Amino acid sequence: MQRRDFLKVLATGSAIAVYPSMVGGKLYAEDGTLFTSYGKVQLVDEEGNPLLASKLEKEKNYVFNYPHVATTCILVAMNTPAEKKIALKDEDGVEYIWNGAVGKENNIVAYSAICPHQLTHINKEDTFISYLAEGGKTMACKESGVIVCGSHLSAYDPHKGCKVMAGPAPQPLASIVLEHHDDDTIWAVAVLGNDKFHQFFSAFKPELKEQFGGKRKAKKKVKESATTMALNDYTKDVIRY
Amino acid sequence: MKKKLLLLVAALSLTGSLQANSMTVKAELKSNMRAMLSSMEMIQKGGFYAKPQMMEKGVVQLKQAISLLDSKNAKHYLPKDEKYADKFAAKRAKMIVMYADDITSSLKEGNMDDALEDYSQILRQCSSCHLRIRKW
Repeated sequence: MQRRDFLKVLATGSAIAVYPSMVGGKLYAEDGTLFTSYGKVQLVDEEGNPLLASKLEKEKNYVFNYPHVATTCILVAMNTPAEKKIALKDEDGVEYIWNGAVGKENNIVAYSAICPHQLTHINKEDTFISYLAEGGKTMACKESGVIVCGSHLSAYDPHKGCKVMAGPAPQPLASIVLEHHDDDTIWAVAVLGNDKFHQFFSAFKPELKEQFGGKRKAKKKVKESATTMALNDYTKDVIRY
Repeated sequence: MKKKLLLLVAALSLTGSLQANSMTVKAELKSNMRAMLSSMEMIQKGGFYAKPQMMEKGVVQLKQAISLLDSKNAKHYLPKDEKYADKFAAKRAKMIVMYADDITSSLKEGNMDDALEDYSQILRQCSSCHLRIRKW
């Protein structure tokens, strides 16, 4: 890496560490895209009121759509704090650092709910992917407090940037970069890691037509606010194995 | 003694009928899978030779064959240790029907590109189910 490029990455990295939304577009590393910044979107409840971090029920599956109207993400306030500065690698070998969770307890995380193995995702009819609360059981692994894709039994550790713990998934779930402001509000600002959005929009064209009226409409960016609700209210059937 | 004999005959005939039933289910599933394979080959051939009618015929055959695996029946046809995954199998079947329908509408619009993309997505659903249920 050239000295100038290194300084650029260093400077941008410091800015991201403070407030990720300060950076627009993409942050490039030597070997590819690490971080894609989208519009800053506030998480709100179903009545449009700001979602407050302190009001989140612990270990409950919440969902919101970001950065596109059809790309659903899981939001969880975990029971225990997340780890920090986790080194991850995507399926192309691109390395990146997951900085950790937000919130006073350092336990609030959000991930794109598109499994990188075969693109299993949450839709309004059903979901095979969800967070399994501590003490819960899954066929995917012995641990609980994990995100499980029930399609082919991949498990991800949300405490570690959704690092793959078990199953055929080739890389972590892409994480949603959150900001927690002094007024306790939560904002989604970017996507970290290989997000699979492009493959998702190509593969599920007929489903997107049915649920959103077409691929173009499904690809629209979420602006200003993203309604956040319980997973059980968003989808008819939460299927777990 | 007579009672014991009767019980033995009853038990044997019940086992026999259960075995026969399981054989019927297996044979039915096997023939069904063959029908799906042949319909997929037809769709592929139609795509490669640019014969939309052949593709449409394949779609009709595929939809007939897949009806066996709809949500009501999936549990019945899955192997004993995979019966719990009925919703997963039913979902794959539902997705196959969705892509098959999209082949028809793509062909109506003259969009062979999309029809072939749908075909590859059907193949993906097939492999997804085989990965899980048949433990490839």
